Amino acid sequence: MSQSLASIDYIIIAVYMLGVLFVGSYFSRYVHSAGDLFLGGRSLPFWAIGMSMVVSDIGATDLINGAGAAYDRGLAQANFDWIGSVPALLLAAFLFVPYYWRTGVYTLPEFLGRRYNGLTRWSLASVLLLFMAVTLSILLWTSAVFMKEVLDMPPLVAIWITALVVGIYTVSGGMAAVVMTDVMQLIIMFVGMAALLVLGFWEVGGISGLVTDVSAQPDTTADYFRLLHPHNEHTEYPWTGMVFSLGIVMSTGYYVGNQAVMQRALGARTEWDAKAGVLTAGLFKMAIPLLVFVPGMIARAIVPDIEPHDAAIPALINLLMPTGLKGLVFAAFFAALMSSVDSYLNSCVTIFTGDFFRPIYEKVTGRPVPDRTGMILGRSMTAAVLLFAATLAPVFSRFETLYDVLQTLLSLFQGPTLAILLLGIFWRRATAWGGCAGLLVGFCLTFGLNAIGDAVFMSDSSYLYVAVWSFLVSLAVTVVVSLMTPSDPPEKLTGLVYRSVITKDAAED
Amino acid sequence: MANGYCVVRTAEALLFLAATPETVARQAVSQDDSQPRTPLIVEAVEALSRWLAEHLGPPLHTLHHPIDVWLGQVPMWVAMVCCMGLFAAAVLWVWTLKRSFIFRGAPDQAWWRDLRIWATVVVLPYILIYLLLGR
Repeated sequence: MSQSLASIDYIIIAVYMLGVLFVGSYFSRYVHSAGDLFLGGRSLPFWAIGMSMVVSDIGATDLINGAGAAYDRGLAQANFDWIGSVPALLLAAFLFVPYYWRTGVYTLPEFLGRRYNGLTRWSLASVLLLFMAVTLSILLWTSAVFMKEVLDMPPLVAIWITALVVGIYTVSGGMAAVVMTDVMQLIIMFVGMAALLVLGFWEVGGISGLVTDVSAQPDTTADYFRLLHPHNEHTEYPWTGMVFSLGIVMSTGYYVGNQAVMQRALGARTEWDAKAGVLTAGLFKMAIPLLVFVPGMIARAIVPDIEPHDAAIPALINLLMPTGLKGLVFAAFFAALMSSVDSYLNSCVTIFTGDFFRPIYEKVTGRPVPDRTGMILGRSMTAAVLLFAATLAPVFSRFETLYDVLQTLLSLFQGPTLAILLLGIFWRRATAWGGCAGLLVGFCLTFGLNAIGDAVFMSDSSYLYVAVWSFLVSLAVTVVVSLMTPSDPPEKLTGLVYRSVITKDAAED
Repeated sequence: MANGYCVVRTAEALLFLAATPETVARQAVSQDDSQPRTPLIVEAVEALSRWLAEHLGPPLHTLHHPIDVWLGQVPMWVAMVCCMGLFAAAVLWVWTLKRSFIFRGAPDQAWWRDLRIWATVVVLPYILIYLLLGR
């Protein structure tokens, strides 16, 4: 692939990299405190929040593995960005974001710590740290694979170059730099992938040509162009898993329990911007299947025998893109990669600093962490986490399917976190130990079910069912343990449970 | 056992830094599975996964199988209703929220800042997409 790039393509990629570095570093002049570093000084407008949420969520794994899955399984892959996003984003915008916002927290574990107890906070923070550190390493490894293909660069060199570029602007500019470079990266990603989509449709003769070409292939089923598939053992994505697990539990758990996504909303300049930002993300999400998964399906029409399927998009780029546009599409890939790496990096450090360092410092010294100390520590930790992730990244060369690894890691916290969040907000009787027990039992259950899921559940995508069962069991355990332990005092619940927030709004009417 | 594999490999990855530099170098450059694996603890995780699969897999499958059979008999129009219902319920819920809650933090109360309208505009295209392509 590298041989097919012309000088102009390399120039476009280089200009893009330098542009990101410049824009990111520009924001360092606005960072004067830990709040500026982690939450952009709570000054982010809704459009930037929405665009950043989408581009942080869509990484290179989606462009490669997601498109590969669409090549193989068809339109049902779009469920992950359609039904697997919109209902959850509405819930996030109007239910969870206002709560997080009003409590003024930096992290989700901090919110749960206030509602339940310290053990709950540290348990979730540890799992999130694990998830984000591994995700960072996977993203860096994906970057290495991609750069080897494009530029014929040795993987280790590619990892350290990506780490260096992202590290410079994330360390210096913090959340504001991350969000503003994300905006730029989303535009580049959309333009590059839209060009690929248009050329792809031109090649296959539009939608009708795509349907005719793919349907003529002997191994294509009638479900290839349908979003909802029957619940049987011949499908990877049965409708039950898509609607009940993905549409309700997994997506809600992902958006409200994933620090990397929710941190943008916490950095909004007003509560209205936070809610509007989440809704804006819902609007942009509609385009993702068109720009990412449909090209995967077009690749099947044009090149029916690609192995592995994950090579669908790179193969399409090689076949269809002229010089110059090819550089733009590769820049779009880098955009997707770097936007996810910078987001996870910033959030990882926010959790470490906010949920581990700050409480320990305050307990030992008896005073809050000075702003300057928090900022210096945050920057040092950003560099340290990046070093850790870059060192760990080569290990993922041994993994067969990184998409499954990510889904498995996600399922560790989605169900249990959502269960205790919902009970914590809607049920005053949920107690500190109830929430803590629900979370810990949920973690253990997801670990066990992930290990044996294929032996228990009908679908190969057993994480769909693991999430639902861990949610239900965590819900039940929290209720039972709460009823067996003394209620929390009313003053502890003020501003944290639904009724106290709604009453406040009603009083202002 | 794709997910079991993932759990084990994730544990292995996290133990990577504890391995010797020689192992690190080998793992970084080699795809060869015959190389010696890191660590005892990875084997322990694998053994635990095997034990869980052997002892808990069959009884849990017996419990879950009737649910799978029952869901397999549900007609696809029910799937469409559930899907549409999820989108519609989300929008209807938003319209039950108080006006002050919706506009809180907004610089003014112009109609275009009404986030209930935003939510409706966001969801409607999705409902159309699922009506057309759902089944």
